[in-house]
Amino acid sequence: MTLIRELDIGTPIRVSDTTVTLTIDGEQVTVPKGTSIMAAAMMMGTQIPKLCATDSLEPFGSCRVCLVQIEGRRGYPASCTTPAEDAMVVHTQNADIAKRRRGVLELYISDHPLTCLTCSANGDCELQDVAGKVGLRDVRYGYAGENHLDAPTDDSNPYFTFEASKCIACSRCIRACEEIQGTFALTMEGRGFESKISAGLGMRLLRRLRAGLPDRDAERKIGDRAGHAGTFGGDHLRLLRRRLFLQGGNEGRNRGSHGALQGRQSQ
Amino acid sequence: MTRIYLPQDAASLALGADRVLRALQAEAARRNLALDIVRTGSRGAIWLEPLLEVETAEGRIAYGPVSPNDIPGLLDASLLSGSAHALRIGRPEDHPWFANQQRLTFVRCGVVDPLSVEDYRAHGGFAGLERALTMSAEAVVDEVKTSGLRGRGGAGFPTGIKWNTVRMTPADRKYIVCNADEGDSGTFADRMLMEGDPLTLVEGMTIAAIGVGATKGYIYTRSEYPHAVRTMNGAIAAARLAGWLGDNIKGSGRSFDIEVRVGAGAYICGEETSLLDSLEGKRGQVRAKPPLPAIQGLFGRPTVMNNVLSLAAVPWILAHGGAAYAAFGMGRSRGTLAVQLAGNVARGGLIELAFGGTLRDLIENWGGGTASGRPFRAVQVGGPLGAYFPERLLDTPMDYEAFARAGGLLGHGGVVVFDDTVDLAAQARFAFAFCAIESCGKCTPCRIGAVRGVEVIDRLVAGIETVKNFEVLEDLCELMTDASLCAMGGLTPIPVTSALTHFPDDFDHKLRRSAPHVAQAAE
Repeated sequence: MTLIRELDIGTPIRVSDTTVTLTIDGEQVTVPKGTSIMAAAMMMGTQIPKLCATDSLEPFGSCRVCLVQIEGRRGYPASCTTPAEDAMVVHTQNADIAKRRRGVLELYISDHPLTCLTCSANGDCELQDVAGKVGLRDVRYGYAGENHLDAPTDDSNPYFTFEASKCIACSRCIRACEEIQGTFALTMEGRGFESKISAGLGMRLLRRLRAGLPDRDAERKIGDRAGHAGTFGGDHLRLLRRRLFLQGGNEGRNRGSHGALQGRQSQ
Repeated sequence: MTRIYLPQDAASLALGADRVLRALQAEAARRNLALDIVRTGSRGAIWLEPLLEVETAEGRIAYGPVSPNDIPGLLDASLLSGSAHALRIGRPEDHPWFANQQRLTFVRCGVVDPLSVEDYRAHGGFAGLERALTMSAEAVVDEVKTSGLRGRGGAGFPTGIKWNTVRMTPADRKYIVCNADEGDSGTFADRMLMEGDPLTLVEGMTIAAIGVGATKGYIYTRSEYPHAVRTMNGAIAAARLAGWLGDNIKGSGRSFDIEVRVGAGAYICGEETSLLDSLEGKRGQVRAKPPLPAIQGLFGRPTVMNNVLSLAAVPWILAHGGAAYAAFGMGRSRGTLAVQLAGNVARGGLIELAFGGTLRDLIENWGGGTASGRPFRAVQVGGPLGAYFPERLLDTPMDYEAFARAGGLLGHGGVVVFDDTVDLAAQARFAFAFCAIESCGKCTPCRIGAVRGVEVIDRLVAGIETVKNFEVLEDLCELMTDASLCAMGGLTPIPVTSALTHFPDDFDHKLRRSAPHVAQAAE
């Protein structure tokens, strides 16, 4: 069940005494200096497709779905990591851009389970939405290549299931732990195609998060070390539920999910 | 006592320099000869290593390549007076392979004792820094701008402009970071310089520090370079002891110090923003730009990030003037390029030349053709992400713009030669495989695209749905070029598309059966 969805402008709101005025798809927009092209476009009502960006986290620039064209600049910069500048002329939609966005999604889906119909995120999944938006019809690489479809599901946590096979390695969970919580609970392990979300070498992912849940044993362990067991676990859980992943809950601020991390309570 | 010079850089050691040393010491002891043996770096003629030199009245007389078994014979022929022998090549500076080079950066490499500040001084060292210490920061940067020096790591960005950005950015601290994470295939110039003339790098970094107002420098190098790490640390200590590094350099009131950091073996850490993350103790992962490292680099401070060869060119520029450096070269590529000639070539090594020479001249005249004696087929310039050029592109001049026009890149100056047994489809596959292994995994085109690239090429050469798969490969190359976060994914298509363009037969599953490389493999 999905409730009212707020607009996610993709990158955090910037406050500045100075403003810049740029042209996006022929329309002029004035935004505070430091605002990303993505946020500037979203503010004037132009939605740029995105997967790794979300306005509660600093821009990261990893998914490459939000690429745009800027007149006078080479290539296709990511709109989340490129700050808006005065007199910039930006194009967010044309055939060349569309082809590249579709190309990125084609790569993603070539390593993703084709189980949308039975997936609990079906209908409320950012990956599914963006694949639809960019018009992905066919994955020409096929599905027989190297993949993570057999990656084990981690259900060590009583509230969440982490289906690693559905993870798109956007690092949102890692960045939330770093930037918002300051707990540095998660990291990326391995590199390249082997990259995977990890709570430490060989550790089961949600053990680490579970350590903060109202579990006497875990509470004692954390409490012994840090002396703030309740805050640690409580905040972390709230963060995950409210801001980032948990779909189907009764929170007002629902930002959707990529399907990898699912709340189990509300199902 | 006769003075003997024997290199101890990694290439010479691999070719038996230490065994030559032991044979020489044993034989000298037996004959009651007193020798003063100086271990130098390599002069760069790897095909002549181990190159043994004897100091005589006529100058240093070289013999090479010397094996331990040659030692008794050499001593019988009175090696110590520089007399005739089959291995005698005479004074190195008269030998055409050295004499025809334009050695500016590598002028002392292989000549001096790498750890001796006196020797360095005696060969013109610290003249640039001495001059810089009398100049304003702005004047130092202007001198580098005048020289036209461009980043030797591969991107070719004007060094003076980068320095000026750092100089103009206010901050409580600024850094000089030297990128010595030399991981390109066929390259060894950074290593050779660090092992043979490390004080040049110390001097170049110190001049950069004066130019931008930095107080701390880091040299980020590879764990695979233990000899370079050792020599570099020794040189830093020697420079400090002599007052050329540390607090109040030579009484100038300026302070700067350098530390060597060793990477853990990831190619991607040679990418400047990954290098910075790694240097900060994090996972070596590419950062999005902006912000540029020149504005927010190491620990968020303005940082000069330059390759070893860019920084090592600076002492000569300051000593002789930017205009003198700019007098070498062609077009917008000024000065010299340290070409590293490797692969299937008869006379491999480091050749420092003014920009503008051709690949043909390099491979045929310096390199003496292929080592195997078989016909030349392809050359890859600029490391694993450089283009494969066929014979008809060999007249391309060594110039950043000319190479870009021909669909390639000069990169770090690595030149790898292949004979007619090379399979360019296998090489194209390797480009993707290399990217898949070395990708940091942050961006999608590189993380997933490289893996799919290997699979698509496998299908192509197996003759599966070739029309469709050629189209898929073309789209993938376009996507990786345009949408990757950094040059790793962005340049991986270059070797692939150049192989496809210039050697299409290798991708044709029907033609492959009769190709020499397949015939060779079957033998």
